[in-house]
Amino acid sequence: MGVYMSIAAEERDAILDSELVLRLQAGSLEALGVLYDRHRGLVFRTALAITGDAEAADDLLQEVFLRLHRFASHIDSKRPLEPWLYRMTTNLSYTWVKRHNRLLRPLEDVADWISGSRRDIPSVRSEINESWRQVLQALSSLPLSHRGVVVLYYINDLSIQEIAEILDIPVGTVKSRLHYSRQALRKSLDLLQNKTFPELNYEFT
Amino acid sequence: MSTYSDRMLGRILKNLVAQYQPPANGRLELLARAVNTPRRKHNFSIIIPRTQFNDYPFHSTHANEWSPIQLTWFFEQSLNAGIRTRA
Repeated sequence: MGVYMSIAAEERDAILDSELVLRLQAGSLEALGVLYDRHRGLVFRTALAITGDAEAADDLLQEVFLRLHRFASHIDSKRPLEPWLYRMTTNLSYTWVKRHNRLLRPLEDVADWISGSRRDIPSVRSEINESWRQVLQALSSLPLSHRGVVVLYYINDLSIQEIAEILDIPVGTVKSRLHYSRQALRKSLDLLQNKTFPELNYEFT
Repeated sequence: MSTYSDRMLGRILKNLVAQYQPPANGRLELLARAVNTPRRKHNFSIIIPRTQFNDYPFHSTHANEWSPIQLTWFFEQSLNAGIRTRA
């Protein structure tokens, strides 16, 4: 019965996550759909940056929201949902990386994906290929635990305190991992300082 | 931390992931899979703490009662399972 609970189109933007979680707990798949539309960007980019594999990010996106559906009764609707999503995404992404443990192949796949999608702009293609390949390589060369911190801090703009709570590690550990990662990335990316990065405006959904 | 190079680093990484988008048919696929996915009816949050920010109040004040709680839960589940089996 709950599957058929409907959410009016004008209500979708205004309704709070907490209300959607309550409806999901009552069995509303439409609430799951609204939560998916609202937070898919957060989950996808986090998974993508940690795994370096667009196909894996697609799969993990599905898996995170399936778990949200499956374990909805565990979610505290009074607390923000985003930390739960971040934590589930980083944990599943870590598991994926550990399981596959073949970082170079995803880098090749992503580079191929980029070149494949922009075949119509040959001059842009070669530039993007080389630059982004090196950025991905720099990111993937970080230890897994450090990569998670970097992704949450730089890509998702979370504070050090928030990252500490999501990853369940001390604030000092977050700071030290960030410090190490920052230095490693700067060193890697300094190699690219004379290259022009494509001016792509990011727009997160 | 908001030095120029730090901001550049953030921008480069954001631009990197911004080149990809979630699949367009993701929602439909999710709902189709969710229909066939059984849901957990038991709330394990008492055993798996900190799934969201902050501790649950219970854990911070009664941390020494962890074992009895786990055992009680285990015995209850076992009894329920046993009763169902016999029935």
